[in-house]
Amino acid sequence: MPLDASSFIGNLSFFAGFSAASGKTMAMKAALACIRGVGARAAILCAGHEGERPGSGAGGTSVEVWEGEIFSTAASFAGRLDCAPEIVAGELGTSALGPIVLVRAGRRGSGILVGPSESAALAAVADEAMRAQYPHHTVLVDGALDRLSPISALPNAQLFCTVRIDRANLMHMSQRMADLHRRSHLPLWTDEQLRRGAHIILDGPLSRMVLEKYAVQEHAAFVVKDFAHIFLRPEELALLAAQNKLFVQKEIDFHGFIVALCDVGQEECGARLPPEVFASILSWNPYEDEKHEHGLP
Amino acid sequence: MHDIVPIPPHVASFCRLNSMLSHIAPLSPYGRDRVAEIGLVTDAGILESLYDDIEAAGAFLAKLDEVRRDRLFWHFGKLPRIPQLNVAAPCGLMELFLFKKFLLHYRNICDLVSEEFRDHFGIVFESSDLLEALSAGSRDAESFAISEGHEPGLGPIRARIAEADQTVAQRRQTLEAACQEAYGFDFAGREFIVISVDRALAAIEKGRRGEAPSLAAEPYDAHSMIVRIIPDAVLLGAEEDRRRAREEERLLEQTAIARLSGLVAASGGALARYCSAVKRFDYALAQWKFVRQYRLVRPALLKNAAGDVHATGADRSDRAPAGNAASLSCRGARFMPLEEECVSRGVPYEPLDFTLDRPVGILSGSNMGGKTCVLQTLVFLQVLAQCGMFVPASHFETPVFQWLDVVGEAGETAGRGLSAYGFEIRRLIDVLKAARDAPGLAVFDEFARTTSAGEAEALMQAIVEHLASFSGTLCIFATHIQCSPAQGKGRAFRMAGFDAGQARATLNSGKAKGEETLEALLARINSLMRYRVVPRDESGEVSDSDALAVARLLGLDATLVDRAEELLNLGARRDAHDKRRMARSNEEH
Repeated sequence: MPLDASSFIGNLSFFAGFSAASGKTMAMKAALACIRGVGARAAILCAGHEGERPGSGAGGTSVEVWEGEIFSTAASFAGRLDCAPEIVAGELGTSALGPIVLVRAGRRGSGILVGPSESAALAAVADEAMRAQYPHHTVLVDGALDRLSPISALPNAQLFCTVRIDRANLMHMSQRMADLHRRSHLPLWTDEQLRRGAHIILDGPLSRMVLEKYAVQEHAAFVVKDFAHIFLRPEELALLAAQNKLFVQKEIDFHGFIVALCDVGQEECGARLPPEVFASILSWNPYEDEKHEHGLP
Repeated sequence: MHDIVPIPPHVASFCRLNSMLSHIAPLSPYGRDRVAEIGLVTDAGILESLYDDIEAAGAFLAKLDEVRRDRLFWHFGKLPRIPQLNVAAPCGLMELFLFKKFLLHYRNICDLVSEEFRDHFGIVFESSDLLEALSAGSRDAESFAISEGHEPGLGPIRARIAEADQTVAQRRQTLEAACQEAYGFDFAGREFIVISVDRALAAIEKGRRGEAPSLAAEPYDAHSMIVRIIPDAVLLGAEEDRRRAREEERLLEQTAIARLSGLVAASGGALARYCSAVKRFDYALAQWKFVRQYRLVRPALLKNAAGDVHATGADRSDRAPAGNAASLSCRGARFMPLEEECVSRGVPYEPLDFTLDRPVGILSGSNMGGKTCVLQTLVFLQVLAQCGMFVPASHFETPVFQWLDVVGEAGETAGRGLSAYGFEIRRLIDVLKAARDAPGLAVFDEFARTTSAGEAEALMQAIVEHLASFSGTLCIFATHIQCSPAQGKGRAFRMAGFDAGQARATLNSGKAKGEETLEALLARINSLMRYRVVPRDESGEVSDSDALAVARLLGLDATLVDRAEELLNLGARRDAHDKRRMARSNEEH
């Protein structure tokens, strides 16, 4: 099921997954294709670079860029690109491949995506990319959940979670999807709750150790910055959420899941998911031909 | 610059300097570098020129309308740090972008500055040609790309590439449309699609027969395959044309980069001057904003009593005439970190008036009466003044000291086998050594408070007598220990302390019961305490210490305080009795 361009145009879309090879880059490229399909252009960014993972080759992600598109890359790559690169911003943080620059493609060609290693710098790059596209911006970020917090503060930021499901991980991924869905729908901390009773406002992440530390204050509610600051087991999270004892100071717009099924049918996968999680699936494979329903012969 | 020395960390810690320096916020990386270089200046000429810069920045801003001021700050904020020039290697695209961006915003800053202030800060722009060369063919003012403007030969090559690109794009569209028609596959700009195995195999077979575009397929899972369009000869031919043209383009781009790098390298001297000017001007502007925000004034630097402050020698104190003492004076001086705290706690802050015109000042007074704050205020002002900054006071007059030191708590931590007393003695040795070499300012906060009272008193007296003999050096002691400098060598002060009448009324009313919060108790003590420095002989009825009253106000058990007062009075009566007996005995003899 292809993606819908209107989901992305005018927004900052952050693609993240639960693990490596969850299909983030492929989903972002599919989104890019549909944005181009309606004649629009996007800025393409990423967190870190492809070679950061042990065992993978050093270097960025190669992506075809079109004239007028903006992307982040390492300064050392900029002179070698065949897309008539125009540097629009520099000094945007660093990566293992050197300083990061923002480049506008002067024509169609190859771009090498490299982003800054730090979350705050990634948000700065995204902010700069939005400025460079002023007055209308469409930004796609190949990211990771742990880089989400700073960037989610930017205007029109939204999260897409990519999931690759096969027979081996079906159960596990279903749980994680339900977990993320629950986290993304935690209630917002307001002045009204402040008056209701004891609460613990956390500067850092909410982990199991933090839970144990505050175990004596069993009636107190926890307040975290946003759901990316929660590092609990699904059952711990479910319990806190059910008792209405977990709040977020800032909501992150979770737009939905982009799922790639492998040897698993939609019905079989759907049967494992709560209805509200099933309803938040935007695409069952952005590369699937529309006439082909995955998993069925 | 040998006239700038680092601020000793324990001195900075004592006067909480770093919290204040964080308020000085230049907009450019060079201005921020200057903040990091802040240190103690020991040359009055340099200090006066730094003060002049701040005043010049203020005078300049006063003449600028709001729109131009915003533009000026915007350009400063956009200035990047330019890379180090390496003559041996050509610049990269990013380096050229940074040079261009720097020159563009620097030129715009120059345009906003009138000639008078350009001369003052050394702001000149002589690189129009370089900026023009870097800007050739750019799409917007700030961005940078190698264009036909840099290398005319790029024009025809880029036209060839554009032609090849068009052929590639058209051919791809044609092939996608053919796939849609022949197989019903909608690639929609995607590199590949996932379809069922049966449809994929049927399509591949059809392609092989030449009835439609050829496809490549690979398994995706048990039911599906990934299918791609195989480029045909037209597409491959166009891509090969493009590749060849691109190779020629790359060589020409390298030529252009080398030429531009040469132009930048030739302007190395000018660029270095621009960076220096930016550093000085941006820093002065930031200082002026700091001055306005915190109502600071220019310090008045006195000629140092010791004459030429650069002259050194171990026997200086022996040679210096007795009447050659330094002096320091402030009115309405504010210790900003404490003032901010008072504002946040909603209690009034009392600025300091203080003059010391003898080598030694001894300050005594109540516990919590503000002795340490007086020392902190004086050190804070002196440090700011000697860092080339304006000071929070209505008036501050001071010499330029060659060193500043603090002996006392001052962020010292016991360790390496030394106790708190051990640290104090080590620090005292440093002070004595420094005082022998050059005039300086040392403050002693409750020196020797951790040792026995008798020995502490004897040691203090010896130190006070010795330090009073150094010419040009000022020493201020905050202490409970009784000591006095030699005639004409020092002054004794005390904190005004509790308003006796009000304190009695408060204690009698029973308001201080120890049930209140610490904040409330502190606020009460604050309201009763007079944080003023007065000469010791004018202190009136108040005693030297209000320790018991403070303890009572802080909520210590009343029976304990009553007993302590009883013992104190008993001791006082015994002392009086002893004195009378001694007097009678003397008369009889």
